[in-house]
Amino acid sequence: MVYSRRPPSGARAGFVRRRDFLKRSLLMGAAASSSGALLSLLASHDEAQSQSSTPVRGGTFVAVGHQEVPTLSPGKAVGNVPLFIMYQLYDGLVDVDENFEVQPALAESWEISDDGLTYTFKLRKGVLFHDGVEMTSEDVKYTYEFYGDPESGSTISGQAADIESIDTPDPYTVVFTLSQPNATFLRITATNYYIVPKHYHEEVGEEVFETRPIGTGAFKLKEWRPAEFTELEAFDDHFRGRPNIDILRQEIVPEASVRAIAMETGQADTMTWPPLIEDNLRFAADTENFTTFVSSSLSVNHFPLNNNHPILSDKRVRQAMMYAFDRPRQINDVQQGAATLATSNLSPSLVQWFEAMVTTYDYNPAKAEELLEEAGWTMGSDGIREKDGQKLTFTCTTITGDQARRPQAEILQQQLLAVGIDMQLSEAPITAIQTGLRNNTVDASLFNWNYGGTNGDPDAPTTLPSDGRSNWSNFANARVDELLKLGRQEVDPERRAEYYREIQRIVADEVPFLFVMYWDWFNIFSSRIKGLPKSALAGDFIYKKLHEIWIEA
Amino acid sequence: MGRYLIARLFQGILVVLLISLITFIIVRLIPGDPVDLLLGEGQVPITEAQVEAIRRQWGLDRPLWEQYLTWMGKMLTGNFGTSIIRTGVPVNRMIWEAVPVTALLNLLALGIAIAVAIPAGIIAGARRNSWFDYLLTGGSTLGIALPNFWLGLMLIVVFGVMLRWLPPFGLRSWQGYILPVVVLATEQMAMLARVMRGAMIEILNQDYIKTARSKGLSDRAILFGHAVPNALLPVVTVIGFRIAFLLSGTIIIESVFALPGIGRLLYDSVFRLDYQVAQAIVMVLSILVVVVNLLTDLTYAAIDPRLRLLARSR
Amino acid sequence: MPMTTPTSPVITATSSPTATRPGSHRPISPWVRAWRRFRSNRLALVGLAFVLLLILVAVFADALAPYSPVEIFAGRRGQPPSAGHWLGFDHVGRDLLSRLIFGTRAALIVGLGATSLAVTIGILVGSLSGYFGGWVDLVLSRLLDSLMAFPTLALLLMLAAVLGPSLTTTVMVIGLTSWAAYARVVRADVMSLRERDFIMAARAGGATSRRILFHHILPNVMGPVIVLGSLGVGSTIILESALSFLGLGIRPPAPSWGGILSDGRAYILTYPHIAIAPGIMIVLTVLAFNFIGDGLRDALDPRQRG
Repeated sequence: MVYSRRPPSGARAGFVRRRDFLKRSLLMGAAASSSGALLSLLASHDEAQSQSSTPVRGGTFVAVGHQEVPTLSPGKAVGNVPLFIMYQLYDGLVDVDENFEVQPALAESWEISDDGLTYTFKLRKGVLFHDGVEMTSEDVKYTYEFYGDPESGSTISGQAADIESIDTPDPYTVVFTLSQPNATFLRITATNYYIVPKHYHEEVGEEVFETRPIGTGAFKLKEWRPAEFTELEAFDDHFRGRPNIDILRQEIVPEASVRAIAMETGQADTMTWPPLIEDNLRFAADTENFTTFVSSSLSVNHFPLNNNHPILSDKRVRQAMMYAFDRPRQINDVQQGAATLATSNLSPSLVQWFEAMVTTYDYNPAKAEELLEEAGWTMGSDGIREKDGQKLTFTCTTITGDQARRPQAEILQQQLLAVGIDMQLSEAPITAIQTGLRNNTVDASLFNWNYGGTNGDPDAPTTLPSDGRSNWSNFANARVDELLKLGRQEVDPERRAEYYREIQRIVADEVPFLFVMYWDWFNIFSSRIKGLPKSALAGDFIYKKLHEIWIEA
Repeated sequence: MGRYLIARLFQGILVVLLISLITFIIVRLIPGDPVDLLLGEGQVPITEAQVEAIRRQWGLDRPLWEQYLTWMGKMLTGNFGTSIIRTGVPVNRMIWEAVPVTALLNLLALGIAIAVAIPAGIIAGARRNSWFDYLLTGGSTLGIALPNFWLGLMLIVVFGVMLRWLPPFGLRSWQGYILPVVVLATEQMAMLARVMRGAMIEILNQDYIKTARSKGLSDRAILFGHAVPNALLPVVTVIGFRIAFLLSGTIIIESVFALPGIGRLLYDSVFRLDYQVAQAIVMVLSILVVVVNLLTDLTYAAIDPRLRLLARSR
Repeated sequence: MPMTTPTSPVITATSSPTATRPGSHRPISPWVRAWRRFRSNRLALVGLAFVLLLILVAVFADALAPYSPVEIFAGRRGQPPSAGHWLGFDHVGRDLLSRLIFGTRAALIVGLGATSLAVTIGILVGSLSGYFGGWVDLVLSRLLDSLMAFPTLALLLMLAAVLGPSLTTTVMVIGLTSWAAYARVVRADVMSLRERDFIMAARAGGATSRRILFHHILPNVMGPVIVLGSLGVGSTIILESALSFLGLGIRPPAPSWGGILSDGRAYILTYPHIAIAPGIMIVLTVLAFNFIGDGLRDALDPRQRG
């Protein structure tokens, strides 16, 4: 058995078998094309838990997150913990559900013109804001115009850059005209823009609004203490019907172990940011007290390599590092096996876009040495390779205090040394690393980042283009730039998928960064919470459905 | 006394100005761009115009000296500006929300520590080598040797998880204060008791005490008339400089127990380049410490008449 | 103004500390005497023995450690103590005992190095400030005030964020930020000593400031400084682990107790043994230094001899 530390409980065994099977098949490269199906199987929790009883009204649902909720503005909130609150307070025109399906929200239906330039949304009638005023097309227009303006300081304005005009022929119709076709419009723009009430926002201004917000969501704000907790209460007139639970509270607990304790002692019903992997696995095994959803993270766990670095700019060196890198062992040693081997830049949970036929890098130190020799790096007397009097050395800067990932760098250091590559380690805060990679003062790093997949859309507008703001590896590939542009403008999903599959093949071959794995993402609920979805490809989006759940008496 | 006070106040202001400059420089030297944090990890289009607009909003596009002067100017009117990361929230409000937690935590801890440690130190010092002395010496030696966050974690495991007597984290009820206060007080108590005991022993061995004893003064009169007042001198100094240390301790303890105080706010803002908040907190803390130091010096002067503070002859 | 009244006669009347008459009538050297007094303190001897043991362990770590401190045993992460691995494995699967043994080096280097740095600066600044008074005192005192007014950890936090953590940074940063406490105590002691009769007498006798400072005043302030310094080694070791706790410790994968503790902190519920062992080592080491400090105080500071 590769997987140690598994308690032999019966319910647990089923869980493990599915997982081990999946892991082994992925690791061996077999059955990789069907990994999507396997993942959805893995994501479904034990049937026993989904037995439904009659919904009960009342009670307080407590979530614990790791970071403060810095703003309640739908135009500025980023990160899991703030978004958890956003899901409850607001609605967009459409929504992407926990299985990456686009669902109607404030818009009942929509039409896309054949040229992909006009989007017409029919709004639901009788939707009320928390202050009792009806939501109309004017509010939609106002929201897009306000947060779409860069001067608002919103973080979502870039998503509206393609909007040429917004028309409101009647209170329940909104027509968006785009300057160029944008295949991401529904999943990204129409989903991420949460509608705010024009009459109120205009009156109080953004500064007040972001502390005293009003939306159409199932819960309304009760009390907000950014670093302590956010407390919401049920909105009686919510358009989907009043939620079952009365109070929804998210507390901020930075310590992972303390979040786990809160969960264990029943003081929390869910964790909006997971604890350590060991705690996750422990909770997942305890099917009696917890309901666990396991999905695959969209962010790839990777070592960005600065492609501008004189040594790392050589593709053969980067490929050699992939061969010298025993990634399956890393998955076992650091993630307890709870991760999927990365094949390129997209997570296999993105079934529609995932490409399985890519260059694979099975652990092969001999091949690594061969590539390094070919690149002119010969073994020095001290065990470090050299070329023209230069040592094969670079520094990997990990995030300060990153207990979860730092061991990976320590393991990789040893494996690279075995083939004559000297990787030094240092630490810095994440912001320093990002700036350093951009300014070429940092050679390599280690963190998880999304290279496409947000809301189930494969576009990667900031990480893969050569001029992307978050292109941490300074990866520049003309074909990828072209493919990204084509993919963004292609409305037909089948043809679109082809572009992104080619990108994955190029990334796999070029190795702009060392892609390691996609973490299993655990969303764990106390078993007293009922009415949860049956399965989820995007575990965090279960939190969009909290208006459906209830607390068992 | 008045002139001394004014001189000390003036010196205090100098110190605060010096600290403001140092802090401003150090915070700006931390590498990184706060805009990255604002934009988050999401894979969504970001335009240059958007990034520039955000930088402009926070004045990050202006030269450093101008940013410093703007900040100082605002601060003089008691306005610390708005947080970069917590976009809409005035820094003043953030600090005012965090101060009560930290203040209560520290005052309780220090209060308990003083109430326990000083009498205990006096008794132990006066009855040297008694069982009480051994107990106190042993206890305080152990207390000093315990890293406070380790003690905190062990207490969480015992009382929060195993016994479930107390909430392991947060401040949902007053019980949330118990464990962190115990941890902070333990450290202070150990330190103060040790210093108090040491000072007592030192004073009681002075010749003048022996003289007083030989003159027939009662033990009680010697103890409370001479020994204790003189022994308090070093203790006051220690309490004074422990204030700054105590505030440092809360940075760790607040993050262990997930308490929304000043310490955690500072830690968060340093790591997230929230310049306005980090600067403001360091300023508030240093002003506080300067005031406490001033009070310490005054107390010191009041207790030790040997110090002729104004008549520094040389 | 009550403060400016002539000094209270109680203290200054008779005292003339013994240490200021070195070797007036001694059959044996004061160091031998001090050692005898130190030797009679059993706890101090235990502390000394422990620290000597630690030094040996640090020097011969390569020979003593059963495994390499960075070797990762696949699939054994977090395993509790067993016969082959007395302290079990850490959260990556490295032998904890070996890491603990190698961590002794970092602990001693940071503990002793940073404290010596701080004590040296502290004595220098404190005695100059306290003895000369006037503008020297004014300038040094403002520096001292500024430093004391900075919450140490806040300053450490910011400096470490700027400089990036490493062993040297840790020693320098702790040393350069923690001398104020020593300086303040030395200054206060020197200020009160310089008013005493025996100093007045020395000065009247034509002794230079330098002589008075080094021969009459410093020997008398060494007692409290040694006591503080001995506690200082302990609190420096704690401070180092606190820095690691906050993510600013010694550069990985080099083992340090603070580093292991901070790794273990995250795993306190799943793998409690990781945090317990370095925690205990820190407590024991700090205790040992404190015992030594107590012994030294009894031996060196004649004012407190029982």
